[in-house]
Formats: sequence, C-alpha cells, structure tokens
Amino acid sequence: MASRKQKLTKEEELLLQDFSRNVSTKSSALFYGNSLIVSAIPLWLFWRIHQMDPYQSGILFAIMTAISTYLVSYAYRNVKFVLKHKVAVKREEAVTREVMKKVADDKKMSKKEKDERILWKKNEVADYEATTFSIFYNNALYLVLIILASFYVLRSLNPNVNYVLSVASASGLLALFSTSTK
Amino acid sequence: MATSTKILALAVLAVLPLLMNASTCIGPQVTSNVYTTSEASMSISTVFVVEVAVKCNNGEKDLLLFADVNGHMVPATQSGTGKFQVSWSDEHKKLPAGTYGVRFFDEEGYNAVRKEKRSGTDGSTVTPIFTVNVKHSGTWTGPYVQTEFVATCVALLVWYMAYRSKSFLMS
Repeated sequence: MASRKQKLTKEEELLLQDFSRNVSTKSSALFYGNSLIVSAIPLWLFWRIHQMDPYQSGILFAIMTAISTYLVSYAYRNVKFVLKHKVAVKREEAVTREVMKKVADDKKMSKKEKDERILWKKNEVADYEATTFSIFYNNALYLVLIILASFYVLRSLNPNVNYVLSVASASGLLALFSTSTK
Repeated sequence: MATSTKILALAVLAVLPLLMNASTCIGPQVTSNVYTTSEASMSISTVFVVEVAVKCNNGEKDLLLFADVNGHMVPATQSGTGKFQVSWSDEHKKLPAGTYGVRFFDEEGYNAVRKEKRSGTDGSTVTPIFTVNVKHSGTWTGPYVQTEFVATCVALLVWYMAYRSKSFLMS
C-alpha cells in the first residue's frame, strides 16, 4: 500500500501557524530589534544618573544587555501569542465586513475562496495588532520595573550591583509575567 | 618752671597726633563684589563673601579695616593694595533672604564701637567709613518633587493605560 502524501490546505497551514508559538523571520527581527533598544535604555540611566563609567563597566553592560534582550523578546513572543487569538475574535466582524465588501462583486470567486481570504486577512490583522501591542505593553512594564528597582528598591547598593540586579529582575519578571495566560 | 613744663606737655600733645601712625581714610571711593550661597542642596551652610576695593581721597594706603558682621566685629583681610575681603557663614535658616548692611570701620571706629559695646550699647551710633549692602536672594533647596518620583508616576500611568487595553482585549 502506497502512502499518500497529503498536501496541507491553506486553511490547515493557517491553523498550524495560528496555534504555533513560532514567529516569522520578520517578526523575530522586529522583536529582537525592539528588545535591544529597550534593553539599552538602562545603560544611559546608569551612566548619566548613577554615574557609572561606561568604559570600566563596558563588559558588564554588554552581558546584561544581551541577557535582557533575550528575555524581553521572549516576553514579546509569549504576550503576542496570547493576545493574537483574542484580537482575532474581537476584529473578526470588522475584517469580514471589509473583505466581503471588496470581493462582493467578484462572481468567479467561490464561497470557500472568500472564507479563506477572510481567514487570511483576519490572521494578518491579528498578527500585526498583537505584535505591536505586545511590544508596547512589555516596554511599558519593563521601564516601570527598571525605575522602581533602580531608584527605590536597590538605591542604597553600589551602582554595579544595582545595575545587574535591576536589569536581571526587570527582564526576569517580564519573562515570568508573560507566561501567564490571562 | 612749672609753667614751662605745662607748655612743653601741651606742645607734645598738640604734635603727637601728627607723629602717630594711625591711618584714616578720607572720602573713600568703594567698589564692592559680593558672593552669597545660592544652592542649599550641595552645601551645609550659607556663605557670604564681600570684596571691597577702597580708594581714599587723602591717598591713604595703609588702611586697617574692621567689619561689623551681624553684630560681631571682624578684621578685614587685605588681599591686595586697597583691596579687602570679609567672609562669614552660618546655617541656612539663620541667614535668610534679605539685605545685610556691612559697616566698615577703621581702627578709630573699631575702638569706638568696642567702647560702646562695653558700656552696654550696640555700637550703632558710631559712623562707619562706608557701608556695603549685601543682597542675598536666599538659597534653593531643590525641587518640591523629586524627578525620579515624576518619572515613576509617568511610567506607571503609561503602564496602567496599557494594562487596561490588554484587559479589554482579553475579556
């Protein structure tokens, strides 16, 4: 009995993509780029406000920025995944209306094709909105945690220790909170 | 004999002032430079520094000046020919904003003030050679609200708006 190789339909592909936590290369580049910028913000804070010398603490800055970049992009991915489905449900009606308006006059397109197009557009809108909102939400939370940690909780410590613990705790907590499904 | 002794004594007394080295400034022309502490956050006390350049009409150069600073007589340090400096400091609250009159006396005036103070008065009736008015605009104690508090509040506000939007999306 010969095995039949079944090609996935467009719908199945979209569903797989939907339920996967993997992001596209473009999204990945966007996440890492943004997380690098956000992780670099505490460098300026500790250099100018806490008076840390950037040349002496260069290696420390590089290591902690790298760790923070990874954890923040991890948080972006998680929050995006959780939000995407919720956004898709919220935007479904509007997207359906918009796509139907565009394809209403096209008599050659079958209902199945129209449904596929609606599904694809809904996925695209949800993906984009979830990506941007995830970046916005995580950036806001990261900055709050960094400011609270460095100026209040750890203010009496040596600046180097303050920097390591602030960045580690802020990015760590961000990654932890992002694993919540609520 | 007694009469000649008396005449000699009177003559010595009449000439004596001319032989004394007491220096008096007549018609002084004064230019002053004043510094007062303006910021209290980086200093523990308020400092006043008064620099005066004095030019006497009688050409007197060997002046010895004393300043009346808040009721205390202090010698003025000579920092150059005809240039003098007086400085004093105290806690910020004891030197509030306002105008402080610093009276300068020569040796004669200084002795007169001391004599008056010993007899119980404050020495304010003695006329100084000149007076310098020091205007102190007070010290800045820092902002009412710390900048990190403002930054924290703004960051919390932005996060709260994001949290509310997220809650709406997740509902």
